[in-house]
Amino acid sequence: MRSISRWMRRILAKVIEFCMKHAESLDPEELDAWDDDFFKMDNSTLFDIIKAANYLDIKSLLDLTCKTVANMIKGKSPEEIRRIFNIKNDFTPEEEQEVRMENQCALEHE
Amino acid sequence: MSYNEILKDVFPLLDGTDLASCMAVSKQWRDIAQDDYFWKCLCSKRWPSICKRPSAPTVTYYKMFKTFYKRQHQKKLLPPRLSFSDLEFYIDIWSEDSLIFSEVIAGPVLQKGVWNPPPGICDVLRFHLEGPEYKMTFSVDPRFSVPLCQTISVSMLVGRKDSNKVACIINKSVFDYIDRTSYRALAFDYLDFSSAYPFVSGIRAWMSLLFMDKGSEEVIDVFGVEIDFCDAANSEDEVLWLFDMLDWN
Repeated sequence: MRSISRWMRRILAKVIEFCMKHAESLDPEELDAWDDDFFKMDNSTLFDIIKAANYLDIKSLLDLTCKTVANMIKGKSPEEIRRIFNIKNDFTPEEEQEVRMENQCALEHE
Repeated sequence: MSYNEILKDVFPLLDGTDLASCMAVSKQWRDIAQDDYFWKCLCSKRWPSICKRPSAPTVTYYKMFKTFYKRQHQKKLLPPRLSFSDLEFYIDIWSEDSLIFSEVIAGPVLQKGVWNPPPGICDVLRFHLEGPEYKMTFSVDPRFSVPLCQTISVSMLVGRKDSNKVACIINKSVFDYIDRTSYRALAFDYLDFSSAYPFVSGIRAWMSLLFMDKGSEEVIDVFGVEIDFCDAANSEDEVLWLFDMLDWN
């Protein structure tokens, strides 16, 4: 059997922690508060948990993690999104202007 | 599960504005966010009836969402089809029945440009002439005097060289309002638009005789004329569109 790396063990531990908490408690308020705390993690861990939840087919965890990512994007400008997810802007200034013009007026945040 | 697949699971949870922001994040995000499937989901939430048709009513759902999601308040004006060099203005001014001014003014002369009003005009008028509102002015040289006890009337036609047609701007209007603070005598008339523009009405052409600050109550000394369409047009392009829409014959 392949040995599980320390990294993978950490992710699986988190997933198991989540599943156990959601199995033992049914109080939605309590779960919400616990989930908020649970998801206070760095982005790469968050993304790894998404992959794990997808692989292990744990729908509730997958939904929640995707929703967490979506909430991180909501209401943010492209530059803010890049900063949060540590993404490099690979547009040339012309390309970036083109994308902004495409979406401007119609879809900009007020 | 790749990074792309994660984004594909997250993007459906976003609204149009946020998805559009994602498109500007990076090329990878743009390529995924451009998938019309996400925009189809957004369209079907906003306008569920479109699901009753198999394909998008517009070329893409993205285009549909972008165009109709929010009311577009700033309608972009198309570039005007006319230019001032195509036009000339036939202006006739009467004092009772005698003609006191009769000229054909070429379009470029009337186009808002640098025109230095003579010294001796009041500050309010100078301030008005230098203001940002779009107005067409020309100087009257030599100046003419107008006795205010008489009825002063004007007619103004415009001709276009490209199609040899003429339209009316002012049919025959009287300068019956004298603005003593800004030294202008005003006349107006409602513009007649071609039947291609059926619901447009209530837009006036204003002509002002600009006079010197001389102090006489009975006679005004006119040094220039101003024409504007302040009801509706406040830029050169807007004015050119108004001209385009006139009933040319």
